[in-house]
Amino acid sequence: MDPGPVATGPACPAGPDLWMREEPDGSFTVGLTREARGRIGPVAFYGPPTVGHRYAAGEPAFSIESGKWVGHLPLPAPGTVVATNEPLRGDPRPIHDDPLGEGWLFRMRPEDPAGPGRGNAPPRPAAVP
Amino acid sequence: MSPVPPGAPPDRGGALPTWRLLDLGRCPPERAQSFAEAVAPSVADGSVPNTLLLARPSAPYISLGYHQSYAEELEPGFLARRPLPVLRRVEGGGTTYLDPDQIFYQLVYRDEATAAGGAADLARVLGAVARAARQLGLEASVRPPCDLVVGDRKFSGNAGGDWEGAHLIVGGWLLRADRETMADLLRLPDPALRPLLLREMGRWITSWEEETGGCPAPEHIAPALVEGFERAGLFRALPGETTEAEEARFRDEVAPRIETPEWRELPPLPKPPGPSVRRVRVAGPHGLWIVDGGSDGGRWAAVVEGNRIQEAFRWPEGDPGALLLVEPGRAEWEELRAATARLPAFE
Repeated sequence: MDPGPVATGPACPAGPDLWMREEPDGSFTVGLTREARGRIGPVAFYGPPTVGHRYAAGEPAFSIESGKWVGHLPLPAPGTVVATNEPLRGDPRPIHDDPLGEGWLFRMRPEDPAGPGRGNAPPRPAAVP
Repeated sequence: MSPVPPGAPPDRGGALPTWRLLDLGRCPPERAQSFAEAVAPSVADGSVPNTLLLARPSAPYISLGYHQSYAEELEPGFLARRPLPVLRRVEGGGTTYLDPDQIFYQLVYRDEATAAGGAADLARVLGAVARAARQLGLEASVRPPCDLVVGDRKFSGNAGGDWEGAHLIVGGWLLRADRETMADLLRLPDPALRPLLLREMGRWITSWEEETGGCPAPEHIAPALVEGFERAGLFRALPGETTEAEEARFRDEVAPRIETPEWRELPPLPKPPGPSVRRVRVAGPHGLWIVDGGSDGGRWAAVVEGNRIQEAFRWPEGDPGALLLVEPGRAEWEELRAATARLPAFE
């Protein structure tokens, strides 16, 4: 699945569940799409990825629980996590209330400098219920 | 395209897909709880068919939901008295007590196995499990999203998750319910709350024995579940065996991981600003909130349905072992409502 063009500025889809936005420093901010939010309902828990860890394609990196279902999700593309939205660990409501703003999940640097949208491993479909 | 699982029948149009049935029988808690995690990679890579596991634990243990905090959930005094194994599962939901009077079913399957995917699969699976329970004489129905109930009382909890490229749905039936132990193992900030928790468990949790006066024989349960899934149009399950790869993965990877403190004792999650709240789910939408507003705020306990306060209690000054009922409409009731206005509801 082609997740679309590299994001610059506005958030762009990264598969059915995630959006991403390129930041001025070349990292990418990633969050849950409104569609995914509507599909899974209120998020009860968010387990962020590990900052500084390099995740391979398809490797489970972070977790989201809603309705007693835990999605163990990979990054949108292989790369290294550079920051996570730590307040969401204690209060995940912004993932649902403000998914494109305060509800961002993490920032990453993709292995492919062209960005997550340029031919890296696609996000796993239907990974979030 | 996904590989065709070994032993899968040729496509016959509308014929049901064939799954593997692994009946693990009575087995140690670690195997009963977590062998499905060893099956998941094999299901995901297509080296084995989608799989239905059945198991009964040979000894009591405690299971934590994937995101639950060991320190916040479990009562240290209980663990000192009864050092039961504590196993963190990869699926969601809350802390549960499991023992030999329960039977588990676990579904491990690939994306293409169902049309809906993820949590939506739960509804179809639970419908089939409820059908099996009715066939065995229990008037079971589904209470979305995850419970099977008789009337309003839960006898089966269920949860799901994605793991190693496969989907997992796990659940169990309470043949008998040891509510005293269930209530004793949960950490509560004051001993006065334990009778309240036990009372609520009595209201909202039941078992086969309480409802029917007996329990179905284990040899009747597996065929009923298999028939339930088949009649629900989900799959046909044929008896199979574990593979060497699955056994090796369980022995060398899963079992060692679930026994490490790092896996078992994940630290508590950070707390949002505002009152400290301990949420204890009893069953479905029913639970307790224990709210501590800090030095400037009050301290309350509430019996909750969804996010509606049904009963409220406060601690009398100088008597921490007692609870006083707070009448609806009083200032304290409104204070509690305000302090809990944004708390997520129990589903």
